[in-house]
Amino acid sequence: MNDINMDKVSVDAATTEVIRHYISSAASEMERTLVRTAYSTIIYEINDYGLSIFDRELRLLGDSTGLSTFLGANEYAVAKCQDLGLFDGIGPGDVIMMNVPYVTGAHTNDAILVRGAFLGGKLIAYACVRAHWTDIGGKDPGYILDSTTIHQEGLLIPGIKIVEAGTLNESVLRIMRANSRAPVTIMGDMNAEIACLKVGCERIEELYEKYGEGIVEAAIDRFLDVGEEQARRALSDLPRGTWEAENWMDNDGVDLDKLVRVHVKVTIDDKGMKFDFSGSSDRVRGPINLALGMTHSVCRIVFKSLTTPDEPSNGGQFRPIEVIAPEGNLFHAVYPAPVFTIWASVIAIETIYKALAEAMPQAIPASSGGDLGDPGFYGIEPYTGRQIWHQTNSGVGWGARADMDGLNAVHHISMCTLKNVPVEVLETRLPVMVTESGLRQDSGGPGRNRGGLGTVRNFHFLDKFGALTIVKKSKTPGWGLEGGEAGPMNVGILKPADGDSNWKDRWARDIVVYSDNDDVWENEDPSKKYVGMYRGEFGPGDEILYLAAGGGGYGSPLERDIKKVKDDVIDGYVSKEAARHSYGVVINEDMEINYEETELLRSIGLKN
Amino acid sequence: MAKRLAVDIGGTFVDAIVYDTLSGELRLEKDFTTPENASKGVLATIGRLNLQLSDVETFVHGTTLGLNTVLERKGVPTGIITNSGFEDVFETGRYHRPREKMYKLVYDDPPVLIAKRYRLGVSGRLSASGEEITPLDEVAIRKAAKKLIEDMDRESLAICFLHSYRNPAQEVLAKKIIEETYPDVSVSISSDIVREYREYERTSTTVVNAYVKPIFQEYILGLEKNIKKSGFIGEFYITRSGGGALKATNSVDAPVNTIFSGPAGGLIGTVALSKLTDRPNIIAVDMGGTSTDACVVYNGQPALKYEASLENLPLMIPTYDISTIGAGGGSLAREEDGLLRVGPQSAGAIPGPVCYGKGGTQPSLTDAALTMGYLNPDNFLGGEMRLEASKAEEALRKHVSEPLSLDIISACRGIYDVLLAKTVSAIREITVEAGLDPREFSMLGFGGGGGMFVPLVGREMGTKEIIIPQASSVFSAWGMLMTDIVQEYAQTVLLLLDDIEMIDLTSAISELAISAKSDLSKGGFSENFQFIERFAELRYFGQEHTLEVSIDGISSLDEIRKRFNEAHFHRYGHSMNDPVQLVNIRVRGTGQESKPNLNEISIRPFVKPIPQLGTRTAYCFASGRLVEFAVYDREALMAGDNLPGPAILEETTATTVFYSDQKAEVDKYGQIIITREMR
Repeated sequence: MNDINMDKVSVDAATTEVIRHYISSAASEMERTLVRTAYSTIIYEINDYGLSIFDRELRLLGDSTGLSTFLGANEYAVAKCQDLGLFDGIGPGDVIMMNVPYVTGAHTNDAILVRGAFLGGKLIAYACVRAHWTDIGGKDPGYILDSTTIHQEGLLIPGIKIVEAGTLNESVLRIMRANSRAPVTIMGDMNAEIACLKVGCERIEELYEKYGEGIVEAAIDRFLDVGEEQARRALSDLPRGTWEAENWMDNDGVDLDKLVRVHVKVTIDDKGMKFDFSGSSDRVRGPINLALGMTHSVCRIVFKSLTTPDEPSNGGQFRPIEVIAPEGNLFHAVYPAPVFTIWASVIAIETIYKALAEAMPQAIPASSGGDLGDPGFYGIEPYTGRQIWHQTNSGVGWGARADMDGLNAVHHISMCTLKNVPVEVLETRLPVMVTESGLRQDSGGPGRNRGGLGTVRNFHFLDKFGALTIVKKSKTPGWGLEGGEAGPMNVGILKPADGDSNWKDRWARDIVVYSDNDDVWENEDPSKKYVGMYRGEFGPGDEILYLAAGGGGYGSPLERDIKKVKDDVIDGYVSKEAARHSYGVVINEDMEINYEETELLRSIGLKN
Repeated sequence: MAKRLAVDIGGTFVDAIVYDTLSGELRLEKDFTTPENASKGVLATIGRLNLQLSDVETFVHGTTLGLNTVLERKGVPTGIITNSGFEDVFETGRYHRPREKMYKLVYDDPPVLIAKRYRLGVSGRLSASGEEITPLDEVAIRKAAKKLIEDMDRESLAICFLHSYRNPAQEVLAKKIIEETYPDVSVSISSDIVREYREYERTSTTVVNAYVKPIFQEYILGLEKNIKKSGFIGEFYITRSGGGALKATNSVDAPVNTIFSGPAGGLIGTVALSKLTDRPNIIAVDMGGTSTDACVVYNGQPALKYEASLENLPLMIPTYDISTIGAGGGSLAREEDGLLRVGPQSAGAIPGPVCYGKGGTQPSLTDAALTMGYLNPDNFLGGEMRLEASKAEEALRKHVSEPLSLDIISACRGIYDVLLAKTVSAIREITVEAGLDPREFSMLGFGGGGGMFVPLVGREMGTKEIIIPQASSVFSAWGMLMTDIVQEYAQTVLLLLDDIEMIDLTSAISELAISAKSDLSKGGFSENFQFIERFAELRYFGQEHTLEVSIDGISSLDEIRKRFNEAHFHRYGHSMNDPVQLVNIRVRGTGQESKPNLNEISIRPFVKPIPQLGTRTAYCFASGRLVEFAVYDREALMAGDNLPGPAILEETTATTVFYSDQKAEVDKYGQIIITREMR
């Protein structure tokens, strides 16, 4: 393509498409470099990162997000950095690093690193990466669940040149190493991040060199506009109006007895889609406050899923979004509010869908299992003597839709691309044995279309090790739609080692339970503890059984096709008992349908 | 007994090629694929060659049967036996959705291949180090088998137990117990197929194997019977997904290893060509109707990967690391939101491009090629089909040029440009991003669309040269003629190099090598024709992804560490002082076959000028406008012919196009070598 028309105003459609592809593939190339060279499972397995390319005006050109949660999050962050003057005088080979959550829109472990791309000494674009560091010195290893100020969440790096003209700043590295429980890992991961920025900038430089600035910038204008048009066109098919919904988080990690209210008002009009979080709780004491950048990402995920789910992301697609969250609100944390846990984002996504389901019940599924779950493991890895943080996550059921059953056992939409750690890998690295890993029977919310099933996993400790589960949706149920019902809630069941008479003292000393759910589940067995969030050190023989919630059902379960209920019973998705009292379908001993009793039960709408 | 036969089944055509090892003669035939009964089309195509099958000493076959069986969900009723408590692993996978669906609220995922009711658990458990924690419950195995086979009519069983990659004893025992009672039921155990950790991926691989095995077996054995009836007494081989071929009778035990055998032929051919013509670095680009496959051969070695996927199912099998672009000659172009989009939808064989006149209305790349003047409407497939240029142009106007307010030629050029960008970016992934500079590579173009598109790709990427081989449209079948017999053996190690004794490593490797040699000997290869290669998959401790390095000829762990550090630096631009972990060792055993050489063609006598068919006006990507192209009959070209661009070379099943800043030379093997014209 040496025969490009050099007329700046009229870059043609084909060239625009070619340039858009180049930029998206540059972002993917950055991603592969990061993943293949990273040190921590949280990057290469959990995909806890986001990569973006911006033009000189910091417009988002291309994005490669490991987790949906980071959709466009870097755009907010780099704009903030610009306001702070962090990019003033940035030169070739410089890398800026910043991890102050109110700027980056995440937590201290998610620093952003930014490098400029240059053509003939002139700044043309930026590449940006954020990836979760294993440890940057917060109050606890693994994950921080109960900080009350940002100053308990680790070293703050307020935007410095970690690389200057290609040379690493050794003094800063020393400070970071000294502050981290996992110095080797974070240095390895940071090297991977720096390498990926280099790759991204080189690709962009090549692109400008090849086409010339005029053509590339005209193409960028054009595809960003097309992104906006696509989003607006999809938007024009959506209903107009204002809808609201509320949802609850178990607690903030500090005031343990208080549910925290998440409320959103969504307005769709000719201007776009407005998300108003003003009705949510004020700032709380514990670390579930959300930095505004993350609030924006949450809204973007929902908006994208309804407008341009199949397109690679760019900033144009998000222009019709407006986000309202007053300073000091749960969704707009300001210094020194603690923000580590991030989980308000997970709950907020569900809440927005809940509001929109009222507007478009044909397009939106019922609630999903509503959270992540399963234990994450922290401690000194026996093999290497290194501090590690191995997160595992549960598959939840996804909500049923107007046209089909929910998906079984998939990570929450905020992290749905995440691959869970295989049992064989986990058992190789940790003193833990998994004794069960499967679908949780009867967890799908009953409905004409059944909610997807959540999962059940049982972890048996072979030796002492730390474990915690981050979950904020274990005290209140999800929801069905149009007469469908919610499934049973998320719950962890902690069990002490058989024959350990000392377990009560041991647990009182070693384990903190943030969400005690014995009441919710009416547990009277003293040798089992029903919990939501917890953390602590478990001993050999102790077990953690985690049951992840299913999705909500859609439509009345009494209208579910009898044949489907029978199939569900044969497959074991639904028990015979549940078939009878949730669906009014009676399955005989021989697995055949008892039509007579079924008809009777269904005709009187009796479910018990 | 002096002929070698190769047959490649594609989506539309069966290609057959026969090589006479005495005379050096090559003949090829094409016939239509018969999806309802694949062997029918194969036999018909072989029939067209008019051969004495008793003269054929080897028959190499590549088939998409296994692949299509899974894609079309036509496998046999299959059941799974696994550890109790883990029956759902096959369904839940790793709880993730594919990246392209991360923002989708619509659930269009394919239903689970093996329903929950057909997945049973039994008691028995190994630890991560392979020690038995709970013995296998033999009664439970019998019960599960009875239930699946007698009550549920399962015809094939997949068995996968946790950590069996370390210790296969429980799986082997389960298989033995089942086969005692049910000798006719097909049983696949995971440790026979994969010796690596990750239970979901290993289960999935085993299930796919079990699901296609009886069908594959019936096809292969049936085909073998049929050709034997016609006098065939030679060796019958199936190409593997990762190169080389297996004896057909061995391939039926683990058909999952041949599941991507179709596209492998082209790569085997590329490697052969790399050796025969002394070109160590080649980027192979195979452009078919619906997709374009690209793969790298570097230092004479094809890029391999150890995990593939089929729909949503991961497969832990070695395959060529082929990058597939969902667009080819039949890909449809359209205006969408003011942008020009090409693919992934394709015109396929039916209705085909608009110009075929078989009812297609949406313009394709082929229609653009015709409109730009590259194709001869009267000489398509040797004149068997007349192309309808006006229909093609009309469709391009309606769907592309008018909506985008472009003139017709700019619209066509745009379609090429978009596909070119996609192809280039896919090839960059396997070259530039792997630290390889395309300028040090030759680009080889084949498949139906190779000649009319690949010279442009090579030009764009600045490759040293672009090669369009003889019979480029059936190059994959030719490649199958060039195959060796290959078997791979792997073992998961998972130890730091610091914790390994060289003597233990050597003995583990030689154990694998002994299996390899013994299998090759069984396959009839004498010592002189056996080749053993050794590899280690390594990573810095803490990393997940591994790099494979050759460990042939090493005598110390330090040497292994050094090779790994170099490989990491080469690929990612940095190496580290961290401990290195050995994840897997692999041994590849190769039995070398005698293969055809490339035929040399005659040199043009001084007195005879190059015959030119005429000229045609076509769009030149180099000069950016319509110009006169010289048109030649490729079959009339002779060694040493030099052709300046722009030119079009016509042959029966392909067209080659190059531009005004390129020139071509016909080498002694009749290959077209296109290079940049320095002016």
